[in-house]
Amino acid sequence: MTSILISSDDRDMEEYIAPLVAEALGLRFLGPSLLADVAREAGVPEKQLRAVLDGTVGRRIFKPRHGQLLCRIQVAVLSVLTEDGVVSAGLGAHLYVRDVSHVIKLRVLSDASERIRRAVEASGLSPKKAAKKLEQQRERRLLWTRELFGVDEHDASLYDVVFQLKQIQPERVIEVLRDLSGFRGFQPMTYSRRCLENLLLASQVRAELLAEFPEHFVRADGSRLVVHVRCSTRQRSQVVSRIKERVKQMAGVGLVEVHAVGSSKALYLCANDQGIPTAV
Amino acid sequence: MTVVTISRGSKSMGEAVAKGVAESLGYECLSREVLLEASEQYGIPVGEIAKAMEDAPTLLDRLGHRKHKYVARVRCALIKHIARDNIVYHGHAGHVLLGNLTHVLKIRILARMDLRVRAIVTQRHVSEAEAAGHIERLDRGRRRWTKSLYGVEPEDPSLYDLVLNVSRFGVDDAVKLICESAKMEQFAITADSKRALDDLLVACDVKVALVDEFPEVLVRCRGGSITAYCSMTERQSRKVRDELARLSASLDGIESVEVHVDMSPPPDAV
Repeated sequence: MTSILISSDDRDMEEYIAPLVAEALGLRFLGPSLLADVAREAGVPEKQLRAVLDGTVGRRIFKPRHGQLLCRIQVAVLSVLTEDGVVSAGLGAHLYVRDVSHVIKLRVLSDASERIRRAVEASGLSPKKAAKKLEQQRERRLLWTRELFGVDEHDASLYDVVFQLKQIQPERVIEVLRDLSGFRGFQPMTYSRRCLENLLLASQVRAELLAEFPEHFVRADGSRLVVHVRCSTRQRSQVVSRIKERVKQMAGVGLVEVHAVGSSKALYLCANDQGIPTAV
Repeated sequence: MTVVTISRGSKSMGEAVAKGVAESLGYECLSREVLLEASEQYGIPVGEIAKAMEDAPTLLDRLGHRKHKYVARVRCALIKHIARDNIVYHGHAGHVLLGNLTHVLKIRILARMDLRVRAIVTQRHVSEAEAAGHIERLDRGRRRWTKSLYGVEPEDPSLYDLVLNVSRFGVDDAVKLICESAKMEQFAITADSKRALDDLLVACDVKVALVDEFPEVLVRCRGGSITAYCSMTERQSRKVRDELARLSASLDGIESVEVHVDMSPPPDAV
């Protein structure tokens, strides 16, 4: 069964529409409530996970600890997505689930004037100040998605369909998703399921390694893993054998290849060449 | 009388989608034909209009407001056309030229770069690098055109009601989704949207009449009342007022005229 990832420039809209879609199409809804489980496992407050997802963790947003928390969220989300028939929203899955053909990516854009009106009501600010505040939030989130995933989440080419909810009603969005989920291109295939499983394994391995090796990326193909890690030439053989030792114990891991890279820039370029978002 | 505008990059299958939608809905499919109509109506060589609609303005263009003059005429021809017929428009900048009419369904079609490159390679027998360079040049040119004339990026999804990535589900399915959306009552013409269209038509006629002498003046029409927005000296604004008074006698549908100096124009001013 097809899965659907819903994202929006307006979190209220995202969290309103996703359960409706799940109910109408008879799919399982995976929303921010998952964060409570992840927070419990990680031993951090749920609020902190929310802040990591929203990019509101501070001015200099990327810290290794945030990367680890984000990776835990990814593992939890991808584990559920591999079961098919899921509607996910509010967990940033549109940023790290890529090239999986049976996953429909939907973006809904809310009416800007309506968002400003709601912000004015909620905060008591003037419309001008409320609009400025929303713009600042938008910019901060843009910075966050660029820094962590190397993408601009406002770029329409990341999605299969983008709706502007100015004249179009949420009911129409549901109808379109019903149509799309029946299209042949969005049916789960052995290959597309495998792509999702590869993403899951890669993020599990990354979650295992992040605390010890903050700068690395992982690519999985079945049970074969390729890890690129930044380390000095002197530490190279130690790091390679340490990674192999840690990763080989994990379930589903067969052959492990580890490549040591001398600089952060080289690592970033390497990940870019392979079409891997820097955080995955 | 719904209007569907389809914006697309070069070789994004947008033309095929537009033709499919027009055929399926029984609408007229329009693109460069509008340029021909503008050329005939205003006696301008079609090549000049086409160039003005395709290339980003040069410094000389900006100084002489040449593009504004041609775009005003193309917009007027397009509005006249949609007032007569149901159309699917996949020519330049439909989403900005008709932006504020509620019975216009604005669509953006996207396709993956590798598919677009392959289409160029097949058509022109060039290398993939040349094809990719060609597409990037065209996209950049359109981006600059829209940005310089309207201050918006054509890729901005908030300009459209629906953005479809046809790489994932093909032309036929895209046609089906667009046709179903076009039939929604939110995009049907209502008394209000008809009035807005009539007003826009009058505003466009006035704009065309003013644009050669006063290219920076923006015009809005509400129920026959014309308001011109400009930033100029008192003497020049008097000239605009006199010209508007003269036009109100010669053009149909104008009841009153007003000139606002140094006031920011509303988004529906043309």
